[in-house]
Amino acid sequence: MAGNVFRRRGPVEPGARKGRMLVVSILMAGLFLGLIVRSWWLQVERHGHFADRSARQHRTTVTLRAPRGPVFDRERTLLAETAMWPSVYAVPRAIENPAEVTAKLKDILPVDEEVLARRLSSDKAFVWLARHVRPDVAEKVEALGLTTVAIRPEPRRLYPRRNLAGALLGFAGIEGSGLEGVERDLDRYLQGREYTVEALRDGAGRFALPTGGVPMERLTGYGVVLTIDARIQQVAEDSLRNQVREMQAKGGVVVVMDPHNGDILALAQTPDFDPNAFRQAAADDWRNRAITDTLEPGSTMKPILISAALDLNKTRPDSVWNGYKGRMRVAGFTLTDTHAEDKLTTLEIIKYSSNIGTVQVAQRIGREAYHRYLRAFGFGELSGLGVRGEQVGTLRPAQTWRPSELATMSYGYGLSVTPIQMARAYAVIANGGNLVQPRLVQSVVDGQGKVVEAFKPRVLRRVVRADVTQAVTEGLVMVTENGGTGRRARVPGHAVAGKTGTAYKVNPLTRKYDHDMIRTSFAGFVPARDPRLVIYVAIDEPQNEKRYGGVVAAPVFSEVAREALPYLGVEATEAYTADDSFEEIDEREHLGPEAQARPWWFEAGLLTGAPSHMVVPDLNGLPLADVVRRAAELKVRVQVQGAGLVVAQRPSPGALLPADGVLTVVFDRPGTDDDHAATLAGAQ
Amino acid sequence: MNLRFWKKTSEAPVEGQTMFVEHRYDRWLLALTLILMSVGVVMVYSASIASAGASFGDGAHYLKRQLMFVGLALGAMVVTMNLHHDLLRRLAKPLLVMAVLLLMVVLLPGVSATAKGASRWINLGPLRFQPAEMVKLCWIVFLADLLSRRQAELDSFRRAWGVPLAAMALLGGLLMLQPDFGSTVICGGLMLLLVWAAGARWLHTLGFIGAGLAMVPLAILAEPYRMKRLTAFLSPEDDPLGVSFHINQALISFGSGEWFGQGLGNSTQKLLYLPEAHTDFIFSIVGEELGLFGGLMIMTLFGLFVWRGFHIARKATTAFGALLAFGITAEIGFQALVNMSVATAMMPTKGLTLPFVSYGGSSVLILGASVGVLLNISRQEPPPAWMHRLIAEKPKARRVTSSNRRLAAKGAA
Repeated sequence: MAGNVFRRRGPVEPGARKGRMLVVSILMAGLFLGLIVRSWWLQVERHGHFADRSARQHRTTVTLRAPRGPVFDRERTLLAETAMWPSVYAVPRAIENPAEVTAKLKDILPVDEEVLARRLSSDKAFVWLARHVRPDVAEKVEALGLTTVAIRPEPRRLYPRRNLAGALLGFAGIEGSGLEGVERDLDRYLQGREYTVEALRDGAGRFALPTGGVPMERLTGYGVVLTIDARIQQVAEDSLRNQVREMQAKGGVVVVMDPHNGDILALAQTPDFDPNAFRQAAADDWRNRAITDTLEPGSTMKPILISAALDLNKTRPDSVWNGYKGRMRVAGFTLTDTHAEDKLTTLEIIKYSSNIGTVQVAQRIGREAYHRYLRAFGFGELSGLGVRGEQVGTLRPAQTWRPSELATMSYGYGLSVTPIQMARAYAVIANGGNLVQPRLVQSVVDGQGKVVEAFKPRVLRRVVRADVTQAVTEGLVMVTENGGTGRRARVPGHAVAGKTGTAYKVNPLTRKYDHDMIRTSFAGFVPARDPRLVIYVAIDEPQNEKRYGGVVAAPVFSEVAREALPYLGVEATEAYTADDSFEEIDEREHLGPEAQARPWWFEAGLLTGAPSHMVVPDLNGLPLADVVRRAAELKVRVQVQGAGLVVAQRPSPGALLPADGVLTVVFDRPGTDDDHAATLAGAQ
Repeated sequence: MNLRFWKKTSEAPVEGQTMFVEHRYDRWLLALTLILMSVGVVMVYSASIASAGASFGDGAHYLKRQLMFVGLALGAMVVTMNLHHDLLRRLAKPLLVMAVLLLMVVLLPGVSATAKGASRWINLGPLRFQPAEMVKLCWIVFLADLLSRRQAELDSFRRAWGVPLAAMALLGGLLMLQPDFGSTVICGGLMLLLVWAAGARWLHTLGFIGAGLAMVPLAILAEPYRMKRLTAFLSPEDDPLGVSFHINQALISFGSGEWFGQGLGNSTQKLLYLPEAHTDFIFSIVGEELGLFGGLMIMTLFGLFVWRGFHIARKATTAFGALLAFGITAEIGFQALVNMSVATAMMPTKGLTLPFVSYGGSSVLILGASVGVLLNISRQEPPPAWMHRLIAEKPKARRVTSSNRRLAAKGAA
């Protein structure tokens, strides 16, 4: 074996061991060198590739929406605002003992214990436990000192005046988009702008959002300044609510308007609701009645007819008409008046609300002229308020009017109008003959209060001459003077012009005028000779003894005017007149059609536009696909708002809907939603 | 026990006169160890802040524990650097027995903590102990003792390889039952390295290296997860969300570092993308946050550590000390190299930590004790008088065997 280099004899010298260590050192040095080259290759040569892959997997752009802008009244009082509100979330993945955490939280959070337990024992990295909790609840949760349950502020829409103008304002969903009312219709201004932020996404798919660097003040939605005056709105609502309660009525509407520029100063309605808790209100109460209630107006229509006749010079204010002693036969039926007069002047027709008088005036000007004037006064067209869902009402072409209908039309049956249309028509008389477009939004302002967009008042057209409106105003003043039907509308220190209205409603089930279903109203303006306020009051189905507009609706007019005029700086001009006892005067009005009469136009579907009604199905909690399917089965048109599951519908389940009516369905996401949570969760 | 840190003197007789010789600890090695541990603490905190926050709600969870482990490790180091390493000669066999027992205990279902299908830890209440780390040190001590005693007989195949092979078979078997392939390879490698370095013949050593390499494919085929790791290693971008997920994330992390990295604490891969970012793959985070520069710094520190370790081995006064120092240094050096190679995808995934830097109580504790032993060897101090009695080898009656006879015959010739 000599010559074999691997063969070595004898004990190992220390030098040999050292030599072998050197071999190992060289081997290691070689490996280190290889490692260095490899590092350089990966980190410098291929850096672009890996940096790109790195960016691709954890950099992501997240689209967020800035908070909604506020809603103000004309004095810049806050009606709706967005505040950061605490929401409670948990990291269930890190919870070791869900039962213990559940036990701690169950008495604090307004969440069902079972739901809480289920959410806490899931395997998710993030779950909402309760969104938008009260601050004291958030404090209690924080006091527990749990590491796995925490608070995160979220924007929340708040309506600080609660029920005030609730139906007008509408509300926004939990994701910050407007679902009803002004919130929905002015969404394009109010909604915060979308912005994208570069976010870090961690390996668990959660996002770490950068907190600073976003110019939130420029992204927040614009503020909207309404023409509403919160003080007048408050008075109108309080007064209406009291009266509706007193009269045990079904509901009511008050419209307060500036006759010169069409500014809506108040839109009150009963029943009302608190948009902060809109889910707790019946969906039917969300609707803005001032623009959606279409009903036959009754006697409040008479001054319009008289104005038309005067403008056409077919009569003069002091012309004398035959009163037929309270009984007159016309087009096959007998008319009666409660005030049996032998003779009355044109203006006294208004004062006594004489059906016999108005029928004669109508016959003198003819149906085409009357129809033309009704159109000119704004009936049968949208008022242009700018709120979705406004109804036009029904005003059929004159050619289709039957001979008897000219008579009924003259005292306000056979056509339907909305409260806003009626208020606008009275504004024409109040302002000297101009039809104005009602204005609800004064301006759009940015975060600093600077006006971004202003909405000018608009005069649409001249309707009647100024001398005509002066004359009719005198007639309307007579209504509130001694002997008139609307004495209770009087306002101390001011002359009041106005007209009472009392009308039977058609019972949709029997399709007949129903004695028990009466709608009382009062339309007027004050001060009569220098009008500042047009006020329309309607109270639905009062149950008191004297169910007349002069008794039920007029007092609300008086109260609102009395409180509102000082706000506007209008000083009392007339001597204060103490009210006489109302008992002496005859406030009765003739109601027009005989009870139990079946209006043929209703039957023919001409007034409501439908021959029949359907019972509204309950769609609550359904997803969009199911709603569409049900709607197709029932052949009903559906208007969809929001996204998620059905939280509300209008009309409410079980209500009657005309077959061609529109069923409005509101969707929203449930209060706790995990998909949504993912985008909001922070990494830490 | 003398707890003075830096120097120690002993009387040394030189040519009839009395002089004092200073016995210094190797300050380089101590400094390097402390630097590496400090870097480790910083990097563990940086790499674990996100995962600790997600799992424990406290981003400093691992930092606090690592600080505690480093404290314990320094304590263990102070003890071992002041106990003469010759004491380990006496303890070599008991230590190996203890290691074997620990490896048996870890297989008991009641006491072991299992992670990812492997039972590698012994549960000690709030802490877990990984015997494999302990076993490596005991194995080195045992081999160094055995080989130093047989310096003259290492030419003989049986005398050189017999006992190490038998012991290795036992250890390897127990380790593979966990299973812990990485530690088995390390122990086997250490055995080859030490026996060869002690003076075994090249031919025998190369033969075993060949046999060991031939075993690797078998071991890989035996366990499906190893096959997966191998495929992941060979073509990492084939299945970036499946088997190659881990190595891909490590490469993305490491590769996005460039020259100076994203800056300390700025790793994005540690946000739950890279698994085991603070343990086995901490080098990837170092690369991402500190760049090529940071990686070179770590490599330089290990290079210097190995140089000092080998220097201590070369200067050791006894064969036992030399082999022990060599073994410990080589183990730390190779483990660091393997770990860094895995993090840079030069080797398939192993499950080995980066010494001193990675998070892990058992690892840091044993490393502290090991460095203490190295420091003690570096002092080149003769064993104290009280220890002579303990470490003196008792004369042993030897059976007459054929090889004995052959040796005796040679001696006679």
